[in-house]
Amino acid sequence: MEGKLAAIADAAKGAIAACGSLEALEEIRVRYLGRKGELTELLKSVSSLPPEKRAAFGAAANRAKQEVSALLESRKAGLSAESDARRRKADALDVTLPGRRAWVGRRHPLSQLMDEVIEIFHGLGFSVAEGPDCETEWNNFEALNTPRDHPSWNLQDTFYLEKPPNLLMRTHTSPVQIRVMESQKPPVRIIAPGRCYRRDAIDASHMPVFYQCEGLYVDRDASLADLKATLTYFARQLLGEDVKIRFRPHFFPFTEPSVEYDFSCVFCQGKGCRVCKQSGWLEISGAGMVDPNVFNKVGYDPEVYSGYAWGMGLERVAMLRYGIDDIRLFYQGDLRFLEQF
Amino acid sequence: MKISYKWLRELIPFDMDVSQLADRLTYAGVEVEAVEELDGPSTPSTELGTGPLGDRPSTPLGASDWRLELEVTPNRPDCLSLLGIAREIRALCGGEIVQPDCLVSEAGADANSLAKIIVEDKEGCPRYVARVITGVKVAESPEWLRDKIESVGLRPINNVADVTNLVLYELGHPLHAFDLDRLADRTIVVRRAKAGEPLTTLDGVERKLSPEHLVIADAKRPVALAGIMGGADSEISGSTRNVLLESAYFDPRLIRRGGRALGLKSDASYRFERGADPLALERTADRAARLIAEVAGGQVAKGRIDVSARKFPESWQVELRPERAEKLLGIRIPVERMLEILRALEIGAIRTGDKITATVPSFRRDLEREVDLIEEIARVHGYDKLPDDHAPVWSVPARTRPKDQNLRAVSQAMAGLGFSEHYGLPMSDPERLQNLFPKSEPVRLANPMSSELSVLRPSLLPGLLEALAFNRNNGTADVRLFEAGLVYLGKGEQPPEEKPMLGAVAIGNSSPVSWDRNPRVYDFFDLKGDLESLMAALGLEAETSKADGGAPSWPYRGRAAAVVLGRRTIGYAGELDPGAAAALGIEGRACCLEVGLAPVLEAMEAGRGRYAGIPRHQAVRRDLAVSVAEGTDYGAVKSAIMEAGRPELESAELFDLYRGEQAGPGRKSLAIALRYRPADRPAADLQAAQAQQRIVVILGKRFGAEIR
Repeated sequence: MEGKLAAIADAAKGAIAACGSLEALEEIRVRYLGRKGELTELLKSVSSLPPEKRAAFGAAANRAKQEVSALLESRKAGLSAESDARRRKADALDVTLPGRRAWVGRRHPLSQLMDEVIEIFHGLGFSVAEGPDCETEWNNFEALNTPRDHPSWNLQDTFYLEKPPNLLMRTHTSPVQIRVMESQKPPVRIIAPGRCYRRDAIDASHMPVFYQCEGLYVDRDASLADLKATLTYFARQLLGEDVKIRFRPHFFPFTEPSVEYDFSCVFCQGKGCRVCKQSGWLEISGAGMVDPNVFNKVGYDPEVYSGYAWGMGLERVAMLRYGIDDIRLFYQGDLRFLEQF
Repeated sequence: MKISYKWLRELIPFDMDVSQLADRLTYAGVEVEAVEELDGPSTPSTELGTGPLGDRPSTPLGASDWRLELEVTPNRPDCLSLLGIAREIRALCGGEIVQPDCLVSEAGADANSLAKIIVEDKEGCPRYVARVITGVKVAESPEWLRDKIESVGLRPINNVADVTNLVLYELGHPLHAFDLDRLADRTIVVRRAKAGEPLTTLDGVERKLSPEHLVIADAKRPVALAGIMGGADSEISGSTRNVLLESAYFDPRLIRRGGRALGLKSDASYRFERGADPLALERTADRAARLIAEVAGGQVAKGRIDVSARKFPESWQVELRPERAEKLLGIRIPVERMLEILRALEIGAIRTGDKITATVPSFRRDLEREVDLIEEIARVHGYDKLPDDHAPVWSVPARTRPKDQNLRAVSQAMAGLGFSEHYGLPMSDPERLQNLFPKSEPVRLANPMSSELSVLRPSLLPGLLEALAFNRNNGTADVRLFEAGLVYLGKGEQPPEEKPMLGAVAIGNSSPVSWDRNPRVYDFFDLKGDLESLMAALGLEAETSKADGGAPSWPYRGRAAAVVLGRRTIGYAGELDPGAAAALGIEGRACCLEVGLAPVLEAMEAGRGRYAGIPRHQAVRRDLAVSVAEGTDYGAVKSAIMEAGRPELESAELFDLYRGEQAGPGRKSLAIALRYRPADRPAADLQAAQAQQRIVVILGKRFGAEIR
C-alpha cells in the first residue's frame, strides 16, 4: 500500500509539473483528488487495513493528498497568471489607430452669432420680437418717416411682390419696431433679428439677402448716451473688453439725431491695418434717437417718450469676428467653410 | 460729390492736411469715401494771379492737389458744394469764408427785352430767374478754369459750360446756359411735356417724354429736361453769341420722379431732387454771369428776368429747450456752447428766457424742428463727448422663448446627427423648382434681379440640393446639410404664408471612412434612422407611411416615405427621384428630408412631459419568427402585432430580416423581439404567452404568416 501511495503521489506530482493548461490541471485534480480520484480511493481503502496500520498509512496518505493539493493550487495560480498574461497580450490594441467616428455637423456661424447676440441683449432686458419678411409699405417706409418721394425710399433697391402687389420684401428689420409699438405701450425693449432684402448685385460684400439684428428701447428718459453705452456694452461682451465705439453723424429718416457707429478695429486694436483701411475703425451700422415723427405715427407722445434704436448687420459682425472676407460664403453651404465654426 | 482740397482752401483757409480734413469731415457727418492724389498742371499757368477771380488761390499752382470723394447724406443738400463744405469747416474749426464775388457789371439792353420767360407749371417751377449775356465768344476755357473743372473730376467743355459747372460746384446751385438765338421766339416756356414729345438730350439720346416730365421749352418744342439735362439743339456751341442763363428752382419730387422714369441722373438732378436753395437763384445767376463775361467776353444785360410764382421764406424760427437737449442726449452742454454752435452754422440764435430762439437760413431746409437743432448741436459738439459706461439695464432680464429654445434644440440635434447648417437664399429659380415641385406656383417678385432669383422659395430643398451639388463639385463626396428656415406659399391677394420648415440632404458614405469597416452608401434607411434619432432626441416619435398622392415629385417612389407626426403628414423623407437628380447633375443616391417645423415645435411644447414612473418589474422578452409574402409591408405587420398584443405588449423590434431557402420562395422571414410588461407579475409569463398567441393568430389570419 505504501508503495502504491508513493507511486500515485509521484505520478500526480509529475503530471502537475508537466501540465500546461488550467483545463488539464482540472483533469489532473479530478483524476487524483476527485470523488473517485486515485488518492481519494486510496484514502477510502484505509478502512480495509488492519487497525494498527491505519493510523500511519492514513497520515501518510493525507500528507500526500495535501502535498498534491498544494501543488495543484500553486500550479493553478501559476497557470492563471500565465493565462491572464496571454489574454492581456492578446487583447492589447494599437490604440493609436483611429476610432470609429460618427458624422459631426456644425451650426451655421450666423446662427451661433445670433444666439450670442440675443443672449447679450437678454441680459440687458431686451426681448426678441419678430415680423414677416413680406411687409407693407407702411411698416417698411411710411411709418418710419420715409414718404414715397423720399430719397431713402429707393424703389430700385426694394423687391416687390407680383401678388399682392402692395407688399415688398422688407429692406430692414425696422418694420418690426412699428409692429411692436403699434401693439403695445412703452416701455419697449426689443431686438428684432431677421432676414432683410435689397436688390444688390451679388459680390464679395453684397448679397440680396442679409440678416439684421435691430434693437429698440423706448422709455421716458432714453438718451443718446444710453444708446452709446448699450452698444459699447454689447461690443465688449461680444468682442472683448478693449473694444471702443465711435459715433459719426449720419442721416436716417426714422432717427434724429442719427449716427453711424464704428467699433475700434479688432484686428489691430485700433492701430490701423488692412482690414480697417488704416483707420483703426470698423463701420458697423446705423443708430439714433427715434424720430418724433415715428412716435407720432404709432401714437406715442414724443414729448413724453424718447427712444433709441440701432441696426446691425449680422454678416458684417460675423465677418469681423471670424476674419471672413467674402459674404457669399455664408450662403454657399460649402462644408469646407461651415465645418470651421 | 468730388471736391478739390486746393479749391476748398480758396474758400476757407484752414490748417489741416488732407487726411486731417478727411477725418474732420467724416466725424462731422460728411463721409470722405476716397482721397485721390492729383498731379499738378504740366506747365505753370501764366494767368496765375491775374485771373478774373478776385479770390485767387492762396496755394500756389503746381503743388499737388487732392480730390476728395464725399458722401453727403440726403438731408444735407446744402453740403453739395464747396461753399457748403466750407461752412461745415467753419462750424467745426472756425475761420472766415472768402465769399465768391457775385458783383456783375451790367450794360446795354434790359434782359427782359431780350428774352421772354413763361412758367406754365408753377407748382413744378415756383421760381425761375434768368440772366442774358450778349456777344460772348465761346472757346476753350482758360487754364485756371479747366484745372478747377478737372480738379472735381469733370471734363472741360467750353468756357460758358465750364462756368456753369464751376458755379454749380462752388455754390451748389445748378444752372443751365442756352444758346438764346436757337430758342424759337427767344422764349422759354416751363411746362409739362406732351405725351410722346421727343427731346434729344445732351448725351445724344433721343427720349420720348410724357406729361410726368417737366421741360424747358421754347415757343415750339422742348429744349431741356428741367433740372435734369439740357437738350442738344439749344446747346452752347462755337457759334453761340448770346446766352440765356437759367437759375431756377424745381420741385424736388418732380425732378426725382422724372429722372427715375428715364433712368437719368446728373449733377443738377442730384441737387434738385434733394432740394436746392430757392433763395440762391439771384446770387448764383450773378456769379455765373460775371464769370462768363470775364472768360467769354460779352456783356451782361441789365437786370434779371424773374418769374416767381411763390415767395420762399428767407428764414424761419425754431425754438429749442436746452433741458430737452440734455434729456435727449444724456449729457449737459452749456447754453453758451449751444448758442456758439448754432451761430457757427449761420443759424441766428438768441436766448429768450429758458429757451433758445433759432433763426434758420433758407439753405438749411432740414432744420424744421427742435430735435433737428439738437442733432446739429450734438454733432458739432462731438459724439466723442458722450460717455459710454453704464448701459441702462432693465430690472428683469429677458429670456429665450420656449419656441426658440425648441428650435435651437432641433438645430443642435441635427448637428449632432452630423448635418451642418446651411443658409439658403430665399429666392429661387422657377425652372429648377419645376423639376422638384411641378405643381407649385411660387410667389413671384415683381422686380427680380434675374430669372434665377425671381420667385420666393416654396421649399428648402432646391437650395439644399444646390449646395449639395456645389460641395460634390468641389471635391466633398460626403455631404450632409440641413436648413431650418422659412418657405413662402402664395395666398393670392393675401400676404404669402411664411412657413418654417426643416430640410436636410445627405449623400455619400453612411459613416466616416474607417480602417475596419467597409463603407456603405447612405440610403433611405440611414435617412429614416436619422429622422427617428432626431425625433427621439426631441422627445417625439414620428411614423412613416408610403408617400401619398399629395406628395411632390422629388421623392423616389418606393424609396421615400411620408413623415407622420401625431396624425398629420408633416413632410417627406427619402431618396431623390433619379430623374430629378440627373436634371440637377447629382450622381449617386441623394437623400432628402423636408418637414414642417411648426408641428414639430408644437409637439415639443405639448410634450413637456410628466414623469411616468419607472416600471416596477422587468419586461418579459419573447422572440417571434414569422414568414410572410414578400409584398407584405413590415409596417402593416407591426401595427397588427401592436394591436393584438395590447395591453401587455410594450414594444416590437425587428432584429432580423431573412430572405432565402428557409423562408421559402416569394417569402421573407421576420425575426421580431417582443417585450411584454404585464401588470400582474406572478402571471406575467402566462399573460405574455397568451398575448403572443393572439399575435400569432392575427398574423396568420391577416397575412398568411407562418410561425417558424
